[in-house]
Amino acid sequence: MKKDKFIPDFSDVPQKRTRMNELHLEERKENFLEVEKGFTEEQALIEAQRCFSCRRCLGCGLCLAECDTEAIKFDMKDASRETEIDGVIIAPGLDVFSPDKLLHLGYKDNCNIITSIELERILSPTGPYKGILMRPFDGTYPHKIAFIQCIGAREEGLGRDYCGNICCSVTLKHSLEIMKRFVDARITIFYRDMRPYGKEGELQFGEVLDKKSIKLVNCEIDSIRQNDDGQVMITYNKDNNEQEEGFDLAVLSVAQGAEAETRNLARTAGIKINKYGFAEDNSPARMNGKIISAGSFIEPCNTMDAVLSGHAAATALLKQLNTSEVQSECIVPVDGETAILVCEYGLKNIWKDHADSVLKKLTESSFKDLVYLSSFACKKDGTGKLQGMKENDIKRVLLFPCYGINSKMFSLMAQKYNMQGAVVDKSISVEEMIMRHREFFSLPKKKCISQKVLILGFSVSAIIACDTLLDFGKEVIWAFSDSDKEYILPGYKEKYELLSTNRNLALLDLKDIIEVEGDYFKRKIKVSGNEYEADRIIVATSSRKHETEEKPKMISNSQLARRIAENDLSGINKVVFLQCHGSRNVEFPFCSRFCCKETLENALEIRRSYPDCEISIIHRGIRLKGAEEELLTASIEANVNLIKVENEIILDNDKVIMPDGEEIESDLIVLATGSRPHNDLPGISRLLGLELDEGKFLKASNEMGSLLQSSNNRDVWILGNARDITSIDEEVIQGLAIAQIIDESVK
Amino acid sequence: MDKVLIIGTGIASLTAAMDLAEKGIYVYLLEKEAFAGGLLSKLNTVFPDDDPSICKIADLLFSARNHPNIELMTLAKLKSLKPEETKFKAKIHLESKRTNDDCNLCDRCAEVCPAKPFNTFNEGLSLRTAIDTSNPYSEEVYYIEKETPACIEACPVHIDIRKYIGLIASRDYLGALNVIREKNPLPGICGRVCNHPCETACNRKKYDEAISIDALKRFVSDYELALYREGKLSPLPIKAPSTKEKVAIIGAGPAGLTVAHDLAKMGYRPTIFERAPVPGGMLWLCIPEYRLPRDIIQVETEQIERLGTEIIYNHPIGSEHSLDDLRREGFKAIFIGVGAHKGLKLRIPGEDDFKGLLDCIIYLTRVNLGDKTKPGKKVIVIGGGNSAIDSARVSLRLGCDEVYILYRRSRLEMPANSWEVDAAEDEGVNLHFLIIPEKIIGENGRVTGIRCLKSKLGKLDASGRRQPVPIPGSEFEIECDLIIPAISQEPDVSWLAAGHGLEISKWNSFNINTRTGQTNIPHIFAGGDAVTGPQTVIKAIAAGHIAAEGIDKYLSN
Repeated sequence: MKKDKFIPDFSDVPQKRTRMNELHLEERKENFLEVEKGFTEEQALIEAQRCFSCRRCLGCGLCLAECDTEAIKFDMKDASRETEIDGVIIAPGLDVFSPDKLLHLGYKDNCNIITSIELERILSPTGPYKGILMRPFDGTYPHKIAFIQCIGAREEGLGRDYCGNICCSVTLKHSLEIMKRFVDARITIFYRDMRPYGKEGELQFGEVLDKKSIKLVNCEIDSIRQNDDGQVMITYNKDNNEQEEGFDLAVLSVAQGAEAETRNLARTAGIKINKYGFAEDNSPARMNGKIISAGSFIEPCNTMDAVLSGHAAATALLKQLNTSEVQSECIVPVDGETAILVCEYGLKNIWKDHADSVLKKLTESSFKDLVYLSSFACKKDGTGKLQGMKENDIKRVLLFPCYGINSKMFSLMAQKYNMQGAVVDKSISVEEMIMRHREFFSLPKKKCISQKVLILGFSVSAIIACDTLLDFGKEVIWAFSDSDKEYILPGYKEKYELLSTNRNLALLDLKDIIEVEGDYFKRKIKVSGNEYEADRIIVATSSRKHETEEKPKMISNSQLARRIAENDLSGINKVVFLQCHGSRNVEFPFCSRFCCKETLENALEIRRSYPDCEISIIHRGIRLKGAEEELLTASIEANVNLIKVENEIILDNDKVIMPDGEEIESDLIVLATGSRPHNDLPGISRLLGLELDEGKFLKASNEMGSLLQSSNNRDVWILGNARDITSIDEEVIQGLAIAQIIDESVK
Repeated sequence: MDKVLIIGTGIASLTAAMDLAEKGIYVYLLEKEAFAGGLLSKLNTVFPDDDPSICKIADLLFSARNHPNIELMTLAKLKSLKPEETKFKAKIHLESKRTNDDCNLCDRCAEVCPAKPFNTFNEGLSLRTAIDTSNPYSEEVYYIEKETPACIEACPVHIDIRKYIGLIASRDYLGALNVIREKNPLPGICGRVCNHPCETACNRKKYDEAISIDALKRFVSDYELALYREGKLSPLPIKAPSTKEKVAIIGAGPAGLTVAHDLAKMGYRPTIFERAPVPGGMLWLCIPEYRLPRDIIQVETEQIERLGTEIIYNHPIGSEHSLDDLRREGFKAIFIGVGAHKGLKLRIPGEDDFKGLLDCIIYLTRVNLGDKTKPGKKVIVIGGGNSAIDSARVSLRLGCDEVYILYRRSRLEMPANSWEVDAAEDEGVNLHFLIIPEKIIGENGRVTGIRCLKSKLGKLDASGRRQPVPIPGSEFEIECDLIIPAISQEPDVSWLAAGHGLEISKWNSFNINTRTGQTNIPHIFAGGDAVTGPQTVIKAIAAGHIAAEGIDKYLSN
């Protein structure tokens, strides 16, 4: 947090500090007389009067006098309470790194050098400038904006040798957002390696690369300073060339760190944390004990992963606690007048420039008396409006439009005022809403608990999901290709065998399924000579390594790992790793996520056993997550040669040819072969009518209400490697979370 | 009914809370801030879909607040968690919000509140009131924050700065001085040489410039001194001998003087053993007179003596008079406040081979004890701290022709007070940055120059400053006849008798319990530079307070 100059409402007359008298320079020669003479009484008085009394609570009691309900208790004491509990979930969130002490970045004293979180606040409609992007220095619109990546991350010297995971994607999001607001904006991103988050991030990265006015500069930042006119000058070092460039605004993309309190918390709760303060071994994926960490306490993550880990933590605890499920009640519709509560915030955000015309349509319709405008429907402004409706004897209220509040929450909110509430989906147009406004209340809303679930595919997340659902008393039909069982990971085999004897589980072969028909949530699965029913479907296939044939001089990372283990690398003096082999190209546009880590691990392993071997890694940006960054630091220290290239390196007859035509000689070429989606996916997609994306994965939603739900089938959820390349831990978390997610869904 | 405790109210916590609550489990949601919602509630949109983040979390927060199975506690911290068979016993600390549930969110308190602190929810980009209503999700509480101004928070001894500045503004100068003395026994000294973290934290700085808090402290102290000298104010009466235990204090520096001051006030009988013939430790020996006139040190030391402290000068504790001897003489507790006087070596070739190399501490001590001879013609000071600046400015005053300061990083990274650096430059000191000394050159046993390398700034180090990296091939030489290394100091522990049994760190400093000042030997306490290495006066005073309290606690048991 830092200061800002653009604060309009200081009533005090500005007045610089009083200068003390000093001994004149000539008078100081060859003596030791005191240089500073101290304030005179008048000077002291003026100076003391400059004090703002610090702009904190003065204890003046003005508020006390104003408070009718006598709710203000100045002498209220801190309290403490003790309670017995059966389980703990720790998810304290993240702390933003403060670049205060990185003096060369000039953050502390210059208000046009801001952090990415400050930019978030500036862009937010509830922020300091009501969502208008302007520079804090003078309130002008910035057109040339610089983003500086990796602030407070990937710095071993600072004791923060981990990747912030989300900062690159945040910057990509910001630059696209700014481009939307100012068409003529020019953005420069100074980066070390761009690491977009997941496949959505990869697509966003592609979008940014396509924009001509967004420039990416791979370099080291030397210093940042601000001129007197507010212009920010950035000195950077590219290819050993020092350059300086001016910008209107500089945004430091600060990495998030573990919440400051976590160390105390870990000690109190007796859990292990790593040296950066993140949880070590009680993520829900580990499923041990009744203290479970969730969210960014495991590792900095985006909203979707935070929500998933929250669900997973709940499941992991529920498995250990004995509770019976509580069925939620039906809400019966009532008759009466229907009012429309318009959320101006939602309106502005969904219709953007058309918001005014939509509002006009509403206020000029036959409804106009029943339209209530609220700046924030979900804030107290909204509840105030509901109170008003109650006084006008309104019995039913539609919330229009809204991103977040789901119908259940809104009906809870409305129930407080003896009304029935419903939310109009953001995809419904204003005309349609006016036409169908009564229909929203015609069906009783009932939470629908799943009974029979069909799982397609064989993977860690499928095993975990199956186990959890059976645990929660559901019936499960599980269909997969039998050959998949060969790839089962050690440790999961026993689990599978235990599961397969469960009498609530029916096992099928995927290829036996002839057809899946029926309405949503009432599916009939036709198998030769038999028929099953299911109300939910989960697709959770595994992924396949994109393996290449082993050749004497060209092998893949897994083959290399085997050869290292067998000590079979004698006579090899030079190894070249080729990253992104078969990933991030036209055929498969996504990152395979784990190949960089495998490569670095193998490189370090070779270095340990063969200290004289020359090791090079040709990469398109090393992508690591969280503390895996330590591998990169170690590799640089171990003298591993990192060569960065912009585009995919094509192999020419088993030779590596660099973009400049140079051929790289080596005794061994290691291909960092990535992963590919399971080849059952197209079949499953046809069977269920699901959409495939650019990488031949199934498309799934990542929005709050419909997390992991297939983009075009409401009763299908896509897990793990069927959705994106996923790590084992993530698969477990998704497998656990799905048990909560499918029950949340409303028919 | 099973109960679950969830720490944090971000989206992960809220999701888990809702899942559990719906399954009939009672959930306690703990938030350490005044508002629920976590970092997500601050964001504009959420990656990867462009939805407003507020809308993502609003319904969850709303239902968590209204769910019969969820209890949301803000300003709450987990104090302890004890496993008990299959359950845990949790202790939760709830900070007072200073409002209760009768609040109807009418906002009128915020309208009348005259205080305008920075809006932390908006990352300080705007202002709010002391009643924090800036978070759009703040409805569950109106939190009136505590009344600690930034300056008081920043001050290591937490002087009530706001109060004394206010008293000065209303012309009650002696009243102001009393407020200062509650926490700081050396106002005249601190008023001149403190690095004033209070001014760095001052909120006015964010508008134009910080309040000159330090200079105002000096003003009231000078004001009182002038009254004494004019005979308008009688000095403090000498306190009658106390009745409680005798305590020995080694070193009459700021830490030792503070311990003596506090203990004497509590009724103990402190005796200070000082190696030098003068009080103040580093204050006298190393800070030049032009920054801190000696009569100020004398007057403030006298004040402490009048409270009932005995100071024995020219009396080193060591082989002749050891810590054990003190114990035998009836001193029930001992405080070690010997400071950090041993200059660190440059560790470059030629350092020990020639005359004309003088560590800054030895140099300044010699000058400050009266030797005002001109040390050389062309002087080179190596280092960027306050001692380096002092050495350079002193050299000019002693008549040296040319004085240079060489520092290995840039001006930005200099640890010295920026105003001292400016003054040095004004007086004619030549400052050179990004220079690393490589070798001392000499002839006939005397220094003739120094060979250096130019450097550039590289990676960040643990202090957040960029490390200097030498540029190969950039060697150059500078002629000189005196080199003053002023790179840093460490405590000198050579005076300790063999087998003293005290825990000493690898930096030669004393290991203590930071809350009591106690060393591993129960009756021996330590504080100040002897523990921390070279630090500021005000930190030494703070350490003195802690040790005095620790000693009192130890002797009361």
